[in-house]
Amino acid sequence: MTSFIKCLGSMLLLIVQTPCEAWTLRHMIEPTDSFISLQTQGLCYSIMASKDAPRCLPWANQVIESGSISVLALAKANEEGLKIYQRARDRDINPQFLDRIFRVDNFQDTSGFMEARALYRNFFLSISPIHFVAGFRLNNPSLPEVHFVEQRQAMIQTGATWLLDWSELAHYGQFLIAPLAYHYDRQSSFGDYDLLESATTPYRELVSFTHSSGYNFDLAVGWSSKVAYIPSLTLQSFRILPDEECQGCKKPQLDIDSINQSRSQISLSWAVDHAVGQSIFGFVLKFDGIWIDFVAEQAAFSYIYKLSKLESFLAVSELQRSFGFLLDAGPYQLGIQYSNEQQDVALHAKRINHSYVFTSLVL
Amino acid sequence: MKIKKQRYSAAFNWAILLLVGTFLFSCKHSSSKISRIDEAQQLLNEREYDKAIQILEVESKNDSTGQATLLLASAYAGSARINLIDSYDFFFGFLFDKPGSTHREVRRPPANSQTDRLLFLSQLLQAFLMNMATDSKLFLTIPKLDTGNRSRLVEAILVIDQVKKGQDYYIRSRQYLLFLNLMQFGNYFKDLFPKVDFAQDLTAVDLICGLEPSIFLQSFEKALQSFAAALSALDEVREEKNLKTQVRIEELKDITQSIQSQFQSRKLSYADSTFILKTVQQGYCP
Repeated sequence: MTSFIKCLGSMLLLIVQTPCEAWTLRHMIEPTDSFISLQTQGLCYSIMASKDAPRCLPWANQVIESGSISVLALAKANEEGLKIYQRARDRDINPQFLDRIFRVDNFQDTSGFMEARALYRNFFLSISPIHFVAGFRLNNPSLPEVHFVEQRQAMIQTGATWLLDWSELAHYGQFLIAPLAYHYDRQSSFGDYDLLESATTPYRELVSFTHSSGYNFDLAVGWSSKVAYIPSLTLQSFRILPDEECQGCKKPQLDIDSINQSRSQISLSWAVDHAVGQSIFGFVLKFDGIWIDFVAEQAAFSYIYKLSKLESFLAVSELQRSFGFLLDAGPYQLGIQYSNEQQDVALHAKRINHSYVFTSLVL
Repeated sequence: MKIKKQRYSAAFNWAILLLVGTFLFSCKHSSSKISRIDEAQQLLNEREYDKAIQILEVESKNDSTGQATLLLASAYAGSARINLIDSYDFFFGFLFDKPGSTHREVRRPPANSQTDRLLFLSQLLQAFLMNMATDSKLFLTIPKLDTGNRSRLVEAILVIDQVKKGQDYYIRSRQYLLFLNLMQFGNYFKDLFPKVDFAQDLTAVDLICGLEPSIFLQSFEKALQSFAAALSALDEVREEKNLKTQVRIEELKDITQSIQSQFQSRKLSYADSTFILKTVQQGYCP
């Protein structure tokens, strides 16, 4: 409760983030993300259908009686980035094209993953051969600077979601506990150089490469409400073991470290049954570290409307506004999200439109 | 039942409070701050060079790393229509692309003989032009600057020279100094041949025959100074990065130093330059 009051206090004070030399890349798809978590900016990771009301669950694994195996892919589609890549590949470069790149499209990013997932009752096991994050920025047509960063990792995750009845409160809802553990093998590279350096320095010296592997844990606890108008509450901690920071190492100008660092969030959601369809709405408040720094600009409101096999989503925060749809046709799911995003102002001043695509097939 | 209703209304109160709070946030502009350097970089991307210069002139006064100074120099260069994308082929090709030598034997002059000194200068000039002729096509990519843009280029060179050894951006600044001096040299060099079309595949003979005494006297020394400054910056970059440039860059360095020392020992008159050019052109030009 204390930290919740702190959050509200921070909201009212409109704390201004101190400027940082590196440009923080935002809106990356995390390895524990699901299409629903992207659509709701973290309010729900999956939705459990029940006879009372639909309920948000903290991780992508549903709780189902029978087992299933599925493959899925989630990616941040970048049409402009692909166009630039194609033109560069075809050497279709003219002054107008370069002018536009520096003026409008000088920053691009993408992220996503592929995964095979096995579910059985409360448990799940997933293998993700690739989770990737990449971004680049070009600066200064007079003396062009290139800044890029990319990270690839393979992961094995396992977890469980338990919904526990408490005799006196069983009518109203259930307590929830959901741990998640994973092992990762991560490779990353980055470069910050100008075109003159690229002429005078070997590529291996221009670009820094790192390789690491390890394990980490996530944990979610909370209250899952069965009654409309009584909210569900979830407290989630991501990457509980702190990521080892390399002291004295060169850091990339484009900072993607937030995807490897600890963070936590609190979400509050309500489920409502309508005459036609059902709704879930709620708020999510996010913190850097394990309940350390409240990040006001990531506080989000989300709304889900579910009608039979179609779910529609709306989510709003200071840095991102999005809407999208998910068609859940049993053996397969298809989803698309349109998003209007704000990156770190120092990285890219204008808001950018992006789309996220998702597909899943239950085998 | 009454208790339940009270619970519902309490939950709704929370919901409304949070809803209003979140929408307030959604309407607020981003809270991230942008530094003056970031602002200047954005202006450079939009080719608003004059506005960028205004910011960077202030920032470069307390510039511990050299970044603001490097950006300021690039802003001056950009405002002079110089950019590395257009001239990258020249920069890379001139320094690295064609390994090989155009070595020519140059006879040393006997001491105290003015005529022999001028003859020696003629030989040096001939060797210099023959070396340059191999890259005549590369000079085509250098934009020909008008007087205003040339003074901006000079400003860029003066600014970049202010980055001091030990600052983070020192080696980057030396590379840029090398590039800008080559741009300046390219312009002065092109000036030497007012009737030569650099779009053609030129030979050393075309360059030798394109020289005119009055223009030679005016521009050659300036061209040489820029070239020497470029080579001096190149030396530092080579040492730092263990670079291997073309063999003939070394030859050009020797020739340039010899010509400069000759120029320093006695200022050339119009008659001297006419004599030198006549000697150089003898046997080549009609």
